[in-house]
Amino acid sequence: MNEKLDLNAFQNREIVNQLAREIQLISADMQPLKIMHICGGHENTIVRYAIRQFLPAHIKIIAGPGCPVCICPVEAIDQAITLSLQPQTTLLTFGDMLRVPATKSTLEAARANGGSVKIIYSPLDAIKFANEAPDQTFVFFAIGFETTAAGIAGLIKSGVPKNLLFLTANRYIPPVLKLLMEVHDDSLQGFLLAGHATAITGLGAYDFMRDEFKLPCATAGFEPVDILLAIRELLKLIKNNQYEVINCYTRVIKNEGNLIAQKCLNEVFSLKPGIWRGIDMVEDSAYRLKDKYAFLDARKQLSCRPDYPPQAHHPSCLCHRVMLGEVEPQDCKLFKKACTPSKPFGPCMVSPEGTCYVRYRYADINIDFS
Amino acid sequence: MASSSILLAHGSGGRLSNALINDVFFPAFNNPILNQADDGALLTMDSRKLAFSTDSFVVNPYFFPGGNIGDLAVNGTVNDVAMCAAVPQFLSAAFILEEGFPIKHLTEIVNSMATAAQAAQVKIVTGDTKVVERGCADGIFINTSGIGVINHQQLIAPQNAQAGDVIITNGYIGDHGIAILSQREGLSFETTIQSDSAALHTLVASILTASSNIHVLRDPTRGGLASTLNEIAQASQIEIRLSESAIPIRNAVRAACNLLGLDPLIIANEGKLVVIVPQADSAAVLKAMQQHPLGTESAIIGQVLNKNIGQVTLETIIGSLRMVDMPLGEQLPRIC
Repeated sequence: MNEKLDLNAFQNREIVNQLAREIQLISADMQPLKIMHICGGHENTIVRYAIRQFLPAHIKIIAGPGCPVCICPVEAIDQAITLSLQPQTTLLTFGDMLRVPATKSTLEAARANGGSVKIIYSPLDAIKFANEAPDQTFVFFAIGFETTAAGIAGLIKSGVPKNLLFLTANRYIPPVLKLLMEVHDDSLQGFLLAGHATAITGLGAYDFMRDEFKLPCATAGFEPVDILLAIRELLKLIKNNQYEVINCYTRVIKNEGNLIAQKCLNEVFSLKPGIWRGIDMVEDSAYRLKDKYAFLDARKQLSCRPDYPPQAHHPSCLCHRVMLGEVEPQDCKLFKKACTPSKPFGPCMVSPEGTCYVRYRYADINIDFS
Repeated sequence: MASSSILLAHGSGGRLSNALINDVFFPAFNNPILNQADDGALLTMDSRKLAFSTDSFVVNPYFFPGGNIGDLAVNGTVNDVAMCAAVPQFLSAAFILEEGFPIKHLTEIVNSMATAAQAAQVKIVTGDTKVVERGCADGIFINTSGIGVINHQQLIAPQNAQAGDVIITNGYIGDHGIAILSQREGLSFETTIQSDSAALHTLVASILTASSNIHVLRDPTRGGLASTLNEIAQASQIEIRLSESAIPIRNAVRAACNLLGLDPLIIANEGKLVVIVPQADSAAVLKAMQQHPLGTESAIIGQVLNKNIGQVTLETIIGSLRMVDMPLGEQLPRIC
């Protein structure tokens, strides 16, 4: 893992074609099957490089709820908007969240209406802003999965300025697979696991897939070769009726994960039931600050409840079903017509990791391939 | 001059306005036509075809690696005229200044414009200045209009791309937009990415000498290659098929795009053009471009087909095919 890797190798045309041939061979006598991935970054790579073109027609890769912007509960965004409009309070957020439609508005609209919203790229920016204006209250709107949660946990443990609080909406991925298995019944044969989130948790967090559901899972990286390699290995397991959790991203993921990050997470957060937007409650999947960090919890220290009930999606928007992998973006009446990246109806059209956005930008449908 | 920052009075046409013009603009843009100080510039031109273009510049930040809003304003309009295959000759320059804008910055910007104009062999012959209250503009906005003479008989227009043609660009894509964004977002990379802002008219002249069959000439500014090529594909009713591995992009720009979640094909360029020529002329045009200082990295990046009409498609580096859509959703405001 320490040698200087030539990343171009992971985009190499010959290797890609070789893997495609092997996938064809392995799957030639297999029944049609569906593999799901749960990572917006994977869908981005798959569509950007049109990887589905290398797969036989009967092997389908489906996008699951792997976009942290998309699954962020609308209640949290409504709370963020409410906070941003309060005096002496500034909301700090990742740029992607600015345009996500919430119940009545967006953070961008709140900013245009006088709300105080600043974009940050890393949790360290939050410290910088808080230190620069000690009389102002800053709230870090924390979204994302294990990877971001670990960074925030590390930050909290090392101490933050008194005027920095956290509105946490991070989600833990493994429990959502149980829900996906219920939704899809027997029609999923395997999972591709998120590369960076699994680097934090390690493979053990997915042992229940082997023990309870008897379904194989493979971690995958973010280059074309990574994805095809993981698919090849999954197909071998499926074909041989083997169910294991395997690591196909060894240059980044250690099987046991990142032990220091895990320790930080356990010290700062507990896992509680949490809403995934459009999917509703998923047990043990919301990172909530432990009682000893209540003084940092914006929900406990500030009044952030909006005076209207939450509404997760527009009546015609199918983001919730797209995120579950039940329908494709093109099955939605709004897709590419009323709903575009500049006028999004739902979260999936806003983020570069959202399935609808990715398909809109890079769609390979209806092209003459000759 | 007494004041060191712009006052509202500088825009009202009176004594302070005159002082600003005499102390800042005239010394920089100095030429006999401008020095007449009439309302408009009287120009002697023979009865030739003329190209006339205008553009406004609102880039934020107005100082960035590789240039500033001033040379951008000159090169941008010079290039618009050059893309009409005309020789740019005269520019106007109109300024909208925010009250409080430092005159020191204005002077630096105006001097850059003078330098760029001299390099592009154009004269800035007429102008205007307005000042608005603090908060009603962001520092400085510039409009330039340009006029040039068309010296050839070729029919060059976005409607003229034909199946079998080849698409050539003169170098690295995405530098300008990323230079701006990296400053705006406070990102730093190992190498500072510089704007590629440059006047392209002499490159265009080389191209016109190398071939008398140029079909399309465009500069991919806001919206990048994706936008420009989609416009051409629509106008000409053909397919443009790009080859991802052939498009020159700096590693630092690629890395920045990955970090920001952006596609290099939608990033603005200010010193790049695309030229579409028949296959038979492509070798000569490519060679001529590569011999020009602004075209050393010129490359053939795609071809024109008649399969997926009105679309731009991309053969990826791994050999698959996908669409390159018109960038509607990206929010990259005030990039030029």
